Amino acid sequence: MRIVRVGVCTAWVVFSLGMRLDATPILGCGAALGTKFNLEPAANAVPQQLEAVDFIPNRVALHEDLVVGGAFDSRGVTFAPAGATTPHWDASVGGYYVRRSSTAGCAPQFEGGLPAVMAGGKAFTSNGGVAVAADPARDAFFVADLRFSASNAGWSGIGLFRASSATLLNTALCPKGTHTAAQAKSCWTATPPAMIDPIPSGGNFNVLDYPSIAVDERANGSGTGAGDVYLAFNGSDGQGGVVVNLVSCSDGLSCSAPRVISASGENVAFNGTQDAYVQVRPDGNVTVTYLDQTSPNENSPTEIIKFVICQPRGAPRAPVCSRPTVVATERQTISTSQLNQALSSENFFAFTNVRHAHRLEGDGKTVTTFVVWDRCAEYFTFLSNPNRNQPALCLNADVVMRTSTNGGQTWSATTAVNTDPGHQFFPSISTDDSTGIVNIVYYDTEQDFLHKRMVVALNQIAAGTTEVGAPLPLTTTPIPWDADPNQTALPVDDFDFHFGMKARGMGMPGFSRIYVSFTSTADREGIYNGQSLPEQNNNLQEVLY
Amino acid sequence: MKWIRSFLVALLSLIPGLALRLSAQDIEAAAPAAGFTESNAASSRVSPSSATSKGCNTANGTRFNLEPLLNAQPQQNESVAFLLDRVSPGVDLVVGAANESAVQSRFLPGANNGVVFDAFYAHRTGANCNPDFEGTTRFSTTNPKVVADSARDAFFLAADVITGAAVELVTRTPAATLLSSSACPNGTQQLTSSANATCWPVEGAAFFNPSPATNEVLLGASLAVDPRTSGTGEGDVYVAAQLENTGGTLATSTIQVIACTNQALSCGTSVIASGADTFAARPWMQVRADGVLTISYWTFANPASDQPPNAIDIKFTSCTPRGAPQAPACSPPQVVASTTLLAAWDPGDNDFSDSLFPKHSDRREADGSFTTFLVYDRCRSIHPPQLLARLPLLADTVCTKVDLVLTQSTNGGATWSTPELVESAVGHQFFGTIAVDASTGTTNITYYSTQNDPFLQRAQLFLSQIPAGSTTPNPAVALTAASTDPNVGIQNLVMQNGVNVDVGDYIGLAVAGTGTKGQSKVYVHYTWNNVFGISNGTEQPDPNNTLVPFSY
Repeated sequence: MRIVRVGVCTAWVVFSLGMRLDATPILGCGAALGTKFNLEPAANAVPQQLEAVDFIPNRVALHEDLVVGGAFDSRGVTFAPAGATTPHWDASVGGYYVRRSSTAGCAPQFEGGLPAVMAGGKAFTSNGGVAVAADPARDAFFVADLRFSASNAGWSGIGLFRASSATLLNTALCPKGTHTAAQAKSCWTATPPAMIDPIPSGGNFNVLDYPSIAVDERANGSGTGAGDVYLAFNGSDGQGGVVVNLVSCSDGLSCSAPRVISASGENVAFNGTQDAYVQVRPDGNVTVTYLDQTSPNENSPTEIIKFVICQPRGAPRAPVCSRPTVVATERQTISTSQLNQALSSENFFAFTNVRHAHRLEGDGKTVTTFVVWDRCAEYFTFLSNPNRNQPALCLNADVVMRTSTNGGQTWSATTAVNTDPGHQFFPSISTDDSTGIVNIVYYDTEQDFLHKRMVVALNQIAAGTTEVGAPLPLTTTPIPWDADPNQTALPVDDFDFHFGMKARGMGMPGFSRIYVSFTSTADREGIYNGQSLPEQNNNLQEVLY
Repeated sequence: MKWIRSFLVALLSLIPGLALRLSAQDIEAAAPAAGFTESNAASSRVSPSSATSKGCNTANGTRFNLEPLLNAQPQQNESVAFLLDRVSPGVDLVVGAANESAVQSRFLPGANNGVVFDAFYAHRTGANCNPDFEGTTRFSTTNPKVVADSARDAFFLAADVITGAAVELVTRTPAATLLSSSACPNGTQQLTSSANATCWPVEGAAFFNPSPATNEVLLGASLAVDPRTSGTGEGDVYVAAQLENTGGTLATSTIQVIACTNQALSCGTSVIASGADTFAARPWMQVRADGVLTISYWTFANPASDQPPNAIDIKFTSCTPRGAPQAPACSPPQVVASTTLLAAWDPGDNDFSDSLFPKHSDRREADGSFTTFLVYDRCRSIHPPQLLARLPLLADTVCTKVDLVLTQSTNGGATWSTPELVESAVGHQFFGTIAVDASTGTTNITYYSTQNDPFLQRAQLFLSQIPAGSTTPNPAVALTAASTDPNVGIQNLVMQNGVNVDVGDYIGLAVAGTGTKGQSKVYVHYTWNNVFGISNGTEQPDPNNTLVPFSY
């Protein structure tokens, strides 16, 4: 049967190319809402937020992708009671969710909390900020997260795990269902995890922020750094300032010491959501974007978007990086001006966030870099801001973009991704290297008549252009962020509400996918004291185009 | 090319797995997930350009203020009263009142940055529901409430004085004055030294404590008028208020009543109506058709404890009039119902506070006896406080299901029936209020309900009626086809305390009729966010006091 499938698909591809069929996106996980991407029971369900996702196309079978998601999972906020035999999370809020079969639709087959990592004789548990990167060339997944010491308050580091696809597909090593701590360890520690700490041996370094992760996906031997893994994260410089750190690790998780890539004198944003963001270009160069908030007290709406490009030297040797260059000076950032107040009608924290992606152009040499961020088109100024140290409440948030074709030396003017009424915010961007199509997703409240409830929207940029296409809905039912009894009146994790997205394909229309993992409040209701109420979940949407 | 596409689709459909996949996608694309469909038809925003109604808007109600849409600010905590057909046949004289919470208020002359906390709004022209003029009281007051006195063709407006004194400002105006465009010109009346002198010409003050203690404050007064034309107390005006003293280790609070004369608003001294209760809260007062005052409130069953759960008793008392300004004589309070849950909570996933505020109304039966109906918002269960990391201190108490319940007494409050649900639907039913149409004996109960929102957040306004002679509510009807979200808009405005959305504590309800079927009218005055204000050029949801009528 597999031969037949391959044959038919090949015929489909040939016909598609011959007919120049449009790659009209098809939503694979339910057009209205996507699909809940966890296995949590409904009784007393708690939120999952801050999603990440990556996948290896066709890894399970043709049209059967291996998908790994991550999220801040509130099931891990408490230790399991002594002697507990039921699945628990052992204080790990770093949730993972894996789909290795489509027999249950888009639901995961197993999930769990990332296991504790031992370093310096101390156990470090996940504090969330799960980042996921797949490496199709070496058939593996990498997961990074923020770690806090379970026994020494304030001690932190970045955890890094590697699991091969074979392991994730192995029902003995990674059984279905919600993993116990032992099962999580079985699934994720075949390669001993790395613990990355700017101060070695678990130093007292308690102000790290969530990491981002990227893999040099080039084939082994194709260039220096092929297969290396990079982590970028903000953290204290130990002297009251904040710096951006970059770490390079080998496929076997042998890592360099963190290298500071931000410039001295900068005031790197450090408020939980403005994380440094790392990517690897098709030529192996490593790039990082971050925000310089221009003053230590964040008393201005102006922030400078910075860009650093680094040449790999082969992990665990640290790459060589340029001085930061300026992508844009954003004078109307989004910021949380007072408790709960960032965007009108929304009760969560939000800050301008920057993401970027690269595209190798048709000449085989030029790399176009796309940087997206959200900004405030209009502030509320009728009443004085109760917190004068920060920007005012934003009445209308937009997603905008700049591009560079010379390694970040110069940048285009700022152009709109989506500046429609309502709020557009939390953008993520990913290039489908197989087709050159750049995909940008974000939350959008325009469809809700009160501009509160949000859908996930997608804009695509066709290969060879920098023109942003019309927005496409990836979910059609607007959902409220605040419909969860566990976060009234504050969100559970009151910062960093990014969500995850990755695009990959086979180079032909109809054979590319985007997976988006986002927070939804709609798939199912939780049960609290016998009453049904909406509750937050990490949802998954699959887009075929 | 079309046949090639068809061929391919047919070819692909022969592949079982792929066909199933495509089929499932098609189905998913066509049908939203069960249980979470949202009716956009019932969720309509009112554009600023159409904010003024030509008729009475049946989808959202009609915005009942004249606030400019530019930099609009919230109104909430509504009250309403009307005189049926007072303008002309089919046209009622309607007076509303609400909290304004507005800085740089339109009621202040010039570019004054002062704050106005209360306002009244009057409709006197045409068959629409638009206000023709609006104004504010002369003093700094809040929680304004209004009652009509059809027997004497007048209205009374009262409000809690904010600054220090435990006093309720009470004003009176004849209907003829409200209908006079010279005494009460159309538009927004600016607050000047002579403000209200022509439109609300009679002023009185109900002093609950002429020398209030430092920590004493008057809260949430209730206003009622004796509708009779004969008998002791006929036409008297009553104010019942909560007097709270926070000076001790545990706060103490009583419910006190003052009687004022109708024409001159000469007010007497207060009398305690809450008996020996040391913490009594949220008074609601009515005057029966026989002139007896009836008051409901709640109190902690164990006032010496400040540790939850502290049981709460809902109580009821009646007072015999003695002729204003003499205070009435009140009987010992009786327990209506009890709860071990809290006095305030967030309805499920909604980010605003709903508080316990029992309200009642008295119906005269054919034999001259009275049936008292009492409604209150009741929480089924409290979701455990948020012990999740990162939010414990600021998380609110969540009620997993708020019900509106009804109980009745036929013996003057001595005993009460077991509270029953007014609405059995899902979602939250809250801010329930009640009024009897004396002309027909129909009891009207109105409330917000989120039952038709898949996320149980967006509320419609509902009305349930109890026919004369019955004690069972009929199935409710939706007074608004659309729904609104209490938790939208500009947080600097709608989150007055910085955390919770402030949508007030109650809505207003008034009912009157001629006794003939089809000639009774209900007005509900409530908060609605679907008319957008304009701030910095951007349209934003704006909480407005809104009016909707219902005829039966």
